[in-house]
Amino acid sequence: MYLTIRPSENDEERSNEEEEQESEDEENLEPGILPISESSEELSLKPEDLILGPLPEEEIDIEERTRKLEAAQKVDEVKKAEDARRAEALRKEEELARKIEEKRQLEEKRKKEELARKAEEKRQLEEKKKKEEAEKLKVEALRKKEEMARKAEEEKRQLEAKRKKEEAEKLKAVKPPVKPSAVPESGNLLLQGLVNLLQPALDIKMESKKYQRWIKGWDKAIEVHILNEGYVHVLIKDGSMKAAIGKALQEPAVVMEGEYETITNYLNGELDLILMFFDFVLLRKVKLIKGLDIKLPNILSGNIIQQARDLYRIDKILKIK
Amino acid sequence: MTNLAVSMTFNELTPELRERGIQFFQAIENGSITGATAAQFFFRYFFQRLRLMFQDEPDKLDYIASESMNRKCMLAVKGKNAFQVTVFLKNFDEIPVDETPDYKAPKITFDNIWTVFAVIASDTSLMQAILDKRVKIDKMAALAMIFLPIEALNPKDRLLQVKEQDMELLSQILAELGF
Repeated sequence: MYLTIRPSENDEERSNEEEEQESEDEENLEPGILPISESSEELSLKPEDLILGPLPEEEIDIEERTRKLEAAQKVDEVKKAEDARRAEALRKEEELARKIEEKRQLEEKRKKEELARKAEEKRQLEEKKKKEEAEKLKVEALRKKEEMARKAEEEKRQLEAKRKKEEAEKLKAVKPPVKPSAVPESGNLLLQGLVNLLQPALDIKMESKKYQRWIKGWDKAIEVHILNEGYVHVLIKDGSMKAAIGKALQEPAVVMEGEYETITNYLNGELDLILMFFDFVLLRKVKLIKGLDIKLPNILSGNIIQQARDLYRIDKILKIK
Repeated sequence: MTNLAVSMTFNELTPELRERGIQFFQAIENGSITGATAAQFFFRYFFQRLRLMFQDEPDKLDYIASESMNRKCMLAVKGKNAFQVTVFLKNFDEIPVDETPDYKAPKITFDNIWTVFAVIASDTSLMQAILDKRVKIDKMAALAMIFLPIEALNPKDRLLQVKEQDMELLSQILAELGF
């Protein structure tokens, strides 16, 4: 319901129809809306100053309008609820994403810390091990020193006379000086030196049960051809290994070939056997002349696996490391 | 005496020399002796022994000198007071040491100073130390050019024969260094 305030015209000749209409309007006013007379008192206006607005709508229109309004309100509410839901979903998504990111960062940080901790632990362990080794050697040296000093003192005190006699005997037993001679018969000191270097390494390795197990039942010769120098070979037979100059007396199972520098570096573990298989990688510095027969029948029969296993063992045996 | 290789054959020390040797190596460990002095001691003792071993065979000594001298070699010792020096093998009497590493030269690396002592005192063999990964050799081929001829001439028996002189030599070198 709308009220329209119009300026008073003091028109006393208002038609009866209008008065009737007014009374009808007042009766049709919705609850909560003051009648014009009451409103006019409150607003300190004269009743003549108030004229009702447009004609009241039909009831059906009002209902329609109310219904539309309610519908619009409902739509609005639904829309608001939808917006709120979307906003909430968005907030939750953001929250989730933030939590995932935080978790990821935490995980990353934890991993980094873990890695750093492990590296530090490893370093400390290594350091500790080295210190222990050094300490062990030192203690051993001191122990030996004490032991020897004690023994020497004891001998000095109790066996003075006997020691002199023994010394005299020892002097007699000493071999006469070796007569001057030329270099070894082979004439190649590098090869002879290499053999003299290899043999103690083989002897030490033979003390290990692993190597004993490896060469059990072997009767193999390994020949190494050092270009421009000559041959050396290692004979593995009856559970022993002997290095010597020259070609092997029996058909070698493995033959390697290379220059002195490359072969020596290989023996010192400065070259890898796997690369030797692909000798073209090393520009054919070291060639595996014999020992691995890459042919289809060998591959099919599995012989190649046996050959590769033997080569692996020979590699480990020959290397001074 | 253990069967050694790479020419690093040493006689077993007398108790008195062992004690002096330990004092010397303790001094290296605590830093009162420099790495250069330690290296000089090591190479001087090693090469001057050869003169005793081949005193009756000057031709072989000359051969060894021709093969091993005028070459460079690096000595590195890890652990406490670690050092790394380059040694120039000029002649048997003169072995200058440079504290600047020459990475082109072959190199012997000991894991600690007491491994050097253990080898010199014949408590262990150099080969055993290599197999135990306590000693590492880089550029073996170049190092072998120095040591293989000496190894080939097999001086082990000779070394035993000249043990007393050998101990005297070690005593003299230690005394010169104040030990």
